[in-house]
Amino acid sequence: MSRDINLMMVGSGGTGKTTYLLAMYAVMSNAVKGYTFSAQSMDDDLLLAHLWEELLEQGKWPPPTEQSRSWAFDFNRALKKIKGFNWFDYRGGLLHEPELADPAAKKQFYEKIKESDCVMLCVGGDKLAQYVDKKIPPKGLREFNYLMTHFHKERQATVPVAVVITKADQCRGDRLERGFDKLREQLLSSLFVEGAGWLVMFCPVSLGMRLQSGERPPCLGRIRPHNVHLPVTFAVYFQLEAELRAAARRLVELAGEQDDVQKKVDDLDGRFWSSIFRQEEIASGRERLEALQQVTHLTQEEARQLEQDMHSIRDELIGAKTQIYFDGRRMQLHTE
Amino acid sequence: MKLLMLGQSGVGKTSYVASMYGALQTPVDGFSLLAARLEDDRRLLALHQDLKRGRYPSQTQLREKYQFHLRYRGQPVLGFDWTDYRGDALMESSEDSPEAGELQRDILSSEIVMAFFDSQTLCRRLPRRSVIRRMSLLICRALQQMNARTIPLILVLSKADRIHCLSELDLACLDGLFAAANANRSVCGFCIPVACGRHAYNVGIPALAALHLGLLRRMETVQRRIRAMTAERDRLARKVESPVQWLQDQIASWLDGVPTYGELARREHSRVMREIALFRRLHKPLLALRWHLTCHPGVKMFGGGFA
Repeated sequence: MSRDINLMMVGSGGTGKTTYLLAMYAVMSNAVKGYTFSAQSMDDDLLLAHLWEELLEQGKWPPPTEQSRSWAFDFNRALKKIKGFNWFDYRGGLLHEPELADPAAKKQFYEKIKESDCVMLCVGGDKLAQYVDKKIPPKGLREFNYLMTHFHKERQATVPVAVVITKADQCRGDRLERGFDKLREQLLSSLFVEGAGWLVMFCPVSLGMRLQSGERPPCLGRIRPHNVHLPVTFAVYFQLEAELRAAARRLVELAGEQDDVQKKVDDLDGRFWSSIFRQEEIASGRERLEALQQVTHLTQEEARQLEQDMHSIRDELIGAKTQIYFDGRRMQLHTE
Repeated sequence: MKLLMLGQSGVGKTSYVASMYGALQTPVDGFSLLAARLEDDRRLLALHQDLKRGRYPSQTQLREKYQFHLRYRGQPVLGFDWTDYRGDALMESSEDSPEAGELQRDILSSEIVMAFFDSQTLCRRLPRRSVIRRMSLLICRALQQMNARTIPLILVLSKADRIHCLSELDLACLDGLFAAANANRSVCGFCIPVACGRHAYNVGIPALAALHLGLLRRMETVQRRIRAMTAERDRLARKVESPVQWLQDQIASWLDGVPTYGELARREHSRVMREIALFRRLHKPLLALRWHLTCHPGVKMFGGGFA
């Protein structure tokens, strides 16, 4: 299996990053349509479950994150691991702090962004609603744009971006659609420039449609998570797609190398003197061919498995209330 | 083989082991069980007698590890280790509890998982979600590391004598686990209601189901060995196919003082025949177990491996 992917959620304090993590894990560790997430550490599983239970049974919202840390999860289907992913939950407020305030933490933060395979931007639904109604832009987007520009410069490549609208219950229906449009046309427009190659998804998530507005509303008996599995599903799906493309390129290279080696072997074997005096070279060529065939077979198996996994995940993304854009244009995922 | 029992405190794991052991002292369709250690045999039989009188054991304070032998018509068929954990270890972190640490390590090396759920709690539709979720995670973790054609999973619904009957709705909290298992082509699962104590029933079935699947896995291993040995035998035999090769082989063997390829091929062939004999010995009890299990009412089979 290929390497684990790195996911990072970026957003201002109070946008619900840690709460989102708890909700996502709580919902997905109980299985959604045969898919589950499981913490790679069984102790981390207990800790996340405990924090979620405190929210569910006592109405106790998680405190602001004081210490940055990484969590490691597996994304599974039918009890089989499809992909591992690492999630970096950083200290609240770090996004807005100057570098001098905590240089080590800031450095770690930038390193983690650089290593990310998908970045999730957290925008509070309440703040998005304010932006739509009163034109007050949500905090943190200017810093996010800076980070993505910096990222692009360092890696000379783009990365999938999921714009996660947390507390989407506070910005619904037509307002949500207008919020997406405004983010696309104004505050996040650099991610929608044609030819820039950014893949972006807008995804509303919520802990419950019956929650009151405000930062930490009373929530006992009102928690009903919605769409919380989709951002990670999106990240995993497009990572699998990238791996499938890489596997296809490798197969073409292998086919080319096999042809070259076969030609050399046929050439040596076809000539009278070389077939007698260069037996070792011929045997070595045949061994190389066998090795290449084995690698080709394994790569084909890998590609088949990737396609199968993508197919099953794609069905989940289709029909979900998300918007996906590539290179500035809206894209649709279709069943085959 | 390593069998791991999972279940929260008070669900009836220890009562089950004792009841199961007592019930399988008398052969059931030719199958019986024997503890490797005499002290375990005595202790379990004493507990079994207590259970028949309605006296239940106190909660397990320490991890207990048993070694059993499954016998078919008096002949040993399969040896296995059976670990009984303190139920609270399920919800403890490895930093706070060494036993939780051992449980987590055993999960990653077990070959059969037997998970216990309390029928009364399921029936009231108020199972502790946290426990169901944690059990599902641990089961998932155990099954993920099993890299085999057959992945066994036994779900035991304990204390089934205390309820009228269990419907599909009562099992709704396990839907996620069933869905995942049904989608996995390697998982072969049994869901079995069980009662220990005065009105015991089905006590032998979970153990026999587990051992059936364990036997199946053992046979898969033997089958793989037969294939590998046959391939090796054939490879050696090809080296002396022609008279010229045979002669060269004889001369080289005489000069170097090593066996000929022909001799090595013959030895490999003997190993193949011994493995085939073992395979045949395991096949009859496997069929007998399967017949016994499929004929038993109340046993639900699930998992893509049966599809």
